[in-house]
Amino acid sequence: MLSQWFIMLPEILLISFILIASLVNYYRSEKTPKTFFTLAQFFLIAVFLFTVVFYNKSVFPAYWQNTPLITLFKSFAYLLSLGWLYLSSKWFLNKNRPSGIFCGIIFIQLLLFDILASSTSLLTLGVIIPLLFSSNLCLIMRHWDIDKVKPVAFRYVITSLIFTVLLWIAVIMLYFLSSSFEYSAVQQYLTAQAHNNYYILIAIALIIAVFMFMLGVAPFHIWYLDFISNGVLPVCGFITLVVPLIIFCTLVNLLKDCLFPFNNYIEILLSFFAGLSIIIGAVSSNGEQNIRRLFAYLAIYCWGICLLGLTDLSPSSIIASFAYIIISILSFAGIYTVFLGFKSHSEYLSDFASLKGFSNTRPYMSAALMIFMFSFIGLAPTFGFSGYMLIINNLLADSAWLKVIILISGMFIAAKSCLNIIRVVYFNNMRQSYDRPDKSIYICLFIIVAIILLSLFNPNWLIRNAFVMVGGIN
Amino acid sequence: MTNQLMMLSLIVIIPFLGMLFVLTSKDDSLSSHNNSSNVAVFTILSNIIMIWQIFAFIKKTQNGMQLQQTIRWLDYLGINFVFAVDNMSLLLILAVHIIILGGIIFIRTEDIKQKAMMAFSLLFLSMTTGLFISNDIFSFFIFYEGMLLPLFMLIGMHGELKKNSLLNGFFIYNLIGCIIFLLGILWVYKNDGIVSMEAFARLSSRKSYIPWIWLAFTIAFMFRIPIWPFHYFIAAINTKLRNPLVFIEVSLLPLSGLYALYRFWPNYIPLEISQHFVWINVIGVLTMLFISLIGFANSDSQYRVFAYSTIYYIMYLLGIFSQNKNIFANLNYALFGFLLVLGGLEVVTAYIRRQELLHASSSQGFLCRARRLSLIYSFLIFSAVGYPISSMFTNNFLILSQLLSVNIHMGAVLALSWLLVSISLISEMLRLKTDNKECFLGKSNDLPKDCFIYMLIIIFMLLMSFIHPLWFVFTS
Repeated sequence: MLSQWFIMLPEILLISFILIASLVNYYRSEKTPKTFFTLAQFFLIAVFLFTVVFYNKSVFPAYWQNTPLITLFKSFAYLLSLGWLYLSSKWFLNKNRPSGIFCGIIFIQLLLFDILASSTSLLTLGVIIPLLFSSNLCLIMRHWDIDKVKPVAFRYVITSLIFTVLLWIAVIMLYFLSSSFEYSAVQQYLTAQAHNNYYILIAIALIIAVFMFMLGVAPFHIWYLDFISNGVLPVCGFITLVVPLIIFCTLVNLLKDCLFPFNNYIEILLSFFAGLSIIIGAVSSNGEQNIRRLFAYLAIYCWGICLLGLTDLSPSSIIASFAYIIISILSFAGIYTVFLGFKSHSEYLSDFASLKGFSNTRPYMSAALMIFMFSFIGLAPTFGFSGYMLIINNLLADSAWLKVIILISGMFIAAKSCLNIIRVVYFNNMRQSYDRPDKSIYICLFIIVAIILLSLFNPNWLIRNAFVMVGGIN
Repeated sequence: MTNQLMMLSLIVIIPFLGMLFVLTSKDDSLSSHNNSSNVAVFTILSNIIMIWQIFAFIKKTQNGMQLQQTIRWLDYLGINFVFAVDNMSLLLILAVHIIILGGIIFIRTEDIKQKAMMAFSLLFLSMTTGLFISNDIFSFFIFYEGMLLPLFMLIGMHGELKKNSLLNGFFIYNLIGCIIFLLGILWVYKNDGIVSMEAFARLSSRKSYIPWIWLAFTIAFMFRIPIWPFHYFIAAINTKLRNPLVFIEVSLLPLSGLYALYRFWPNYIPLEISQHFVWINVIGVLTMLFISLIGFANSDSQYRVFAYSTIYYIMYLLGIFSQNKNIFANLNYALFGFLLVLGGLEVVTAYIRRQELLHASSSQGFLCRARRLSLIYSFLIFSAVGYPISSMFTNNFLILSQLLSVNIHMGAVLALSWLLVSISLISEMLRLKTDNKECFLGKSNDLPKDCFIYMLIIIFMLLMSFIHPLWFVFTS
């Protein structure tokens, strides 16, 4: 009995933080963003450690079950959250705004992610995903100008309600067909189906659509762009860095453990969403004048590539997509860190023109930005090249030429927008005044660049771990 | 022979470390803007000593790559960095180091962003060195593509290009070539699991896909050689560059394409494929003729240097396609001499142009008053046109004669283009030597001492290489 409580420690700690943070928020008079971060860091480190210790244990295996690969994803998510909460606290300090509720919502999301990523039942998906939508809504409402985000929130409520209903329809359809919510039972039922049943196809399409919506890929990317355009920087960073990682992990689990018998059908669906995201993301990033939206389009493009690499669901494709998503998220982490240092007269800048001549004033931040940009292009020897190479190699092994052509076309189009950013930052003699960034921003940038450089020289730490863990779930 | 000392990886790492040192060096008005260039010069000199040491370890009479060194990289796919060298790669690395050193010495006093320039130049040097010592197809690709990053930054920051779209076009155009190369590599890897370059060269053309792979590789490498229809971006960028260091580095792009073609050249080419090489010959000589005519008619000294380098690069390309063993055996020495002359010529031309602009004076007659400059310039021009005073004479005449023996028509057009470009270079020299009252440049504008010493070393190397190609190697 006691051992079960220990296994539950990550979830218990996440809930405990929410309770303690609420108490601090209401009863402590002298509280700053630093107070909440200090509290959050202890809890997050403990959650991370206990997740690693109980990497293959679960109290409710019928609803959620950890595996080494899931633990790897969760560990990355916790570490990224820790880093981002640290940087966000600087943002809140600079803006002189309270961060207690923000931290609380982040922990609620992490709790939901913890369960969602390990889920082994469609029922878990049906319960957790609507809760996630609600917590996303709370996140976007964390803006001092409530009138600005009201229309965004309204649109999000409508679309998330539609997708919740679609998800429930899909879950109920699969339940009635297979008489179970459990992934393994549903998979057994699907395997036994000799002919394609239209109800099954509709249910799978609806589930995939819900995941595409959560990931923010085309054509369901409008909410994501809305959030990035109107949300506060800590919120934008969190939904770009942490959310895709967990959604991707959940999707891989669902496809591998539940829907795998309909792999060929799923491949068509994923290829469609992937292709569309790559093209829309790459093309739209070229005409964008708001740098946050520009990078949101690049994110859509990157998630499109991840999905394209995932389409045949083989272990090698999962490794390739996993490597690519980690590389992309590291680059985005660096870019959002630069955003935090990109301010003038205490205002965080977001228009493209304000990047002009950035390298003249902030050479180190510009150099980091340049590395991330070339990494997005996939230019050797940057870290991004490894991700592209793994995905292209995998697609070629399948002789998926059309996908290769889509990927390469998207890459050239996206390269143009990345080159434009480098051009504006470096090849302009204009000297604008920017506020001196906090030292922590330089430290975080240094860490990210160091990880990227180390991974460049020795990518095995990432790829080999993924290889072992993907082997573990097969 | 196994390389125990990791010397090969060191000659790639040293410039990379030099770049990091440059980035951390203080370079402001208090430090006379010279810190970063001093670090760069020191780094390149250290690497030249290392390269010289490696020459002593390799056996000159042994064919194939030597001193092989393997560095683990991507275990999951069995892809590692495999480095090895032969005479050709070492000579090219040495030549590239020497000419980039020359470019740095000449621009170190200029009021430009020295730090960024030195950092990217060292990164470029690291990538180029890596390319020449790569002995497997993946590391070759990584360094081949890696050259683009510093080049893009150098051209953008110091190229003084008016149209930025040209720069984006140049980058994406080169990226297309690289992607074709990558797809070819991955296809070979998928079908045969081959990563070694020797194994690739041994691949039988009987396999249905191999001729297509060779075609893809040839096209990918042609993207870097200014031959029609691949010439536009290289020509457009190269003729607009005014910074000698950037010009030299961009001029090395065709060298990388040429070297890649040489290294990936198959051991055996069936007649049904090689009969199509005649088209390359036709396109090659027509491009040469066209560019030499433009160079002849153009008064811009920079364009003349570009025309000269293009003629030679295409000649070497035709030499590779001729499949003549004598040409292959002489290519390394010919390229070594050519690179030294090209680098020297570019920095001297850029120096004259800079003096002209600084003093708002005509350069006609400048050589009458500047003795050091006159000596250097004359020697380089005579070497460039193939006068028997340097190693350029023997090796390049041998290549030309072999090409004439392979195809008399092609050789004749090639000789005509050579003649035209030589006349344009000599006429430029004569113009500089004809005294003119509007020239306000005098003895005080002569080559500075450090530049003069550097140029004397170049001349010495060219002269010594004429006597013995590997005169500087003392053992083995």
